[in-house]
Amino acid sequence: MDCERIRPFLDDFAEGELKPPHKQKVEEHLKACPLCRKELASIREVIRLLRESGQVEEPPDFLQQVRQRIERRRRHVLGRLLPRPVPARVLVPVGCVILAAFGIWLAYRQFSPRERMARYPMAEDRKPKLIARTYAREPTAGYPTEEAEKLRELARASKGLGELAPEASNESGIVAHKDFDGDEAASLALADKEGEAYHTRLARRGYEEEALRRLKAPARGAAGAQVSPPIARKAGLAATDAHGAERKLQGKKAESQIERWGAQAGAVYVRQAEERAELAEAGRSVHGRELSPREKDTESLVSANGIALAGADMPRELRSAGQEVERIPGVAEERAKNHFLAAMPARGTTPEVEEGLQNALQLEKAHEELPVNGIEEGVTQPFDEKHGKRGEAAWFARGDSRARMSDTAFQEGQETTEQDQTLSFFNFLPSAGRVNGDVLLTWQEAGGGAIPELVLQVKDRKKALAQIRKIVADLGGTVEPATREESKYVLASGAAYADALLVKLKAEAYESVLGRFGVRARAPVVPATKPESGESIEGTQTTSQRRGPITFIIRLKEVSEQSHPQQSPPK
Amino acid sequence: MAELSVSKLAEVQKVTPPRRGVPGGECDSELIDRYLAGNEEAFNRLVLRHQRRTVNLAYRFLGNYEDACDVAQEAFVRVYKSLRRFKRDCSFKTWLYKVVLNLCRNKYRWKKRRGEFGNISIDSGVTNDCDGPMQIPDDTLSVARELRRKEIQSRIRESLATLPRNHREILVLRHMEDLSYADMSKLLGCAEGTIKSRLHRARAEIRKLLADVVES
Repeated sequence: MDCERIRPFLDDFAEGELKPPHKQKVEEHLKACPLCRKELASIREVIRLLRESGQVEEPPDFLQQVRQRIERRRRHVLGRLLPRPVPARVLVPVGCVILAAFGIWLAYRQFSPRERMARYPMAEDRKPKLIARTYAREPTAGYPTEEAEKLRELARASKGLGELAPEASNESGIVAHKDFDGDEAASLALADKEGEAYHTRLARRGYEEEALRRLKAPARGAAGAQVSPPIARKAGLAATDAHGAERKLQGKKAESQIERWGAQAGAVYVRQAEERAELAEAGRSVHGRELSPREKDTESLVSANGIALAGADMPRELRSAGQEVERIPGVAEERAKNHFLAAMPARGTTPEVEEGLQNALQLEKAHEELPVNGIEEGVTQPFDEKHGKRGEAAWFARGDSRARMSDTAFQEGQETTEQDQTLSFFNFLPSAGRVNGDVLLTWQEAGGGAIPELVLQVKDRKKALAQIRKIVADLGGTVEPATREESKYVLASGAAYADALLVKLKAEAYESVLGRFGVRARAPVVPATKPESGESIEGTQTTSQRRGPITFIIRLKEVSEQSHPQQSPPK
Repeated sequence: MAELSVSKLAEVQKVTPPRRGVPGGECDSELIDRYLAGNEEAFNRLVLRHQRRTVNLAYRFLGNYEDACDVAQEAFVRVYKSLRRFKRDCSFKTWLYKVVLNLCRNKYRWKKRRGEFGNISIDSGVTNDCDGPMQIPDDTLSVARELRRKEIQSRIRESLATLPRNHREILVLRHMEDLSYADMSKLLGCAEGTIKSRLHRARAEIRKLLADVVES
């Protein structure tokens, strides 16, 4: 060992904290190296000087002073609790001003038409009529004369606040534009006439809710639920069809949620990355392992990039992952999640983390403006606070167990996974638990049958076995050799050796196994039902959506060349 | 280290001697229990037991004896008020150190904002004047050696004062207060790996500053 590599250990050695085998290595080196011996003596001397630097005496009346402070503090607190008398010449005018201001505010709230309108929730049917009535009193500048006159007529016919006379309640009677019904007419009028504040308030709250309400309304004719262009425009919807509009609305909420997660998770990542950088500087990995010079450089680079990447870049990464989602019914979500897992290797996941990730990914998908075709009912779930909170927990959990990487490394990681290079950047992450490129060649997930099967073609069977055992053990599962009875399938041609391993673990951890192998589920496994209606849906439910323990087979085939395994149907 | 005699304690702090049947060697936990049960004298004993190390800890952080005494007294006032909330998930000493550390940081920031010192103020050498700290002499050393020892202590204080705050804290806690990495991790709120890494850098810095002392 050379001096450069010994130096980081001298501090611990000086304090007697160094453990074997490093301790023996340092001792051997010191026997032959006077420079390091001198360095060690210097460290020990500094420690001795600090330890023996002596003490000072406390003041002889220290306790008395403490007691006096306590007493003073008591008196001070009591004094503040007692009310102080306020002179009348100050109190009376101040009180009058406060009362007057309050009275003005109350009057404004009571009598201002706009304030009255603001108090009514948009969902109520009366609201547009109230709006129409209000505007009928005022000049509707910029509004077509004919429609303005109609609004005024309605207002005259109204018998009370928010009420319309029966003869004016016909929807077509309050149409301001031939293409819109009464609600939209009023909304348009409001948009045209009203000041920015109310419009913004309505757009944020009312239009979105109104648009969603319409989307959920029973389908009208063959076109299905529609959102008219003006409403869609006011609600900031880019699309007018049901799916696109709903996605956009969910996406707007999801975006703010993702941003918030990014900021919060970023703080965790920065701290983790800084710690990692410090350890790298000392030649240690996060697990205390000694790093080789190359690993040390990489650790420093990864953690430095992690610091730079954390925080605001988190939402961008989420979106990068989401952009890779293929819009294929039934598997879009699985591919997105596997892609995401491949991009963010974790050292350990729990079912809760996996669930949170799934939710996070669904929200990210909602952010995308996906075309109508290919979007499957039931694949996306509406955003709600519960999902958001779980996703948030998942992010924190992954922040504690996951290393950060640069954009370049991210891209490289994707390429190496796909191009099957020998060494991927994942190798720099200790105990990442991945089957890396020099082991795994191809994989296939077999569908159907009593026991699902994952077929891996590998270059090195022993390495693959060791990694699989470790990965499954990390996820709380067990691995045993499968019996003849359990593995009945014909081996593909070209296979030199085949192992069949019976793996048992929780269903929720199945996707993590796939993720560790860098694979993406291509075919779902078990038919599922749609949660709301109970009907079967097109597309299927994957293993991870089941609950409880599952058993599946991993078949290892050692091959000299890449070959596509043949799959025989189960008995 | 010279000990204060029992008679001096009784005279200065007006503490009644322990009653018969009540052992004088109660642990911190027992004193806390007695205090929480309403026994004010138990709190006095806690103060007496920890006052010196508290003053020294604050002095090592701040480098100014007056500030150190101020912080140490304030720490005990805080302890008096919040001892009921002490969860006992660590030793009383560690908890007290945490209070002192926070107060020292506050004091340091406050003084820095007021521009009262560029780094921290240093007592001008060791003195036996009543305004400065009373060093506890080592009676086993000759006069010359005692002077040399005081010189070295002064250099150590000066060197510590020039270090960044987090490096100073780590060196004081590890080598002067002899805390374990686990206790330091709880005190400073960071991982042991981070502490070791910072300690390594802090030692390297202070070695440079004390290079001539180390050589000699």
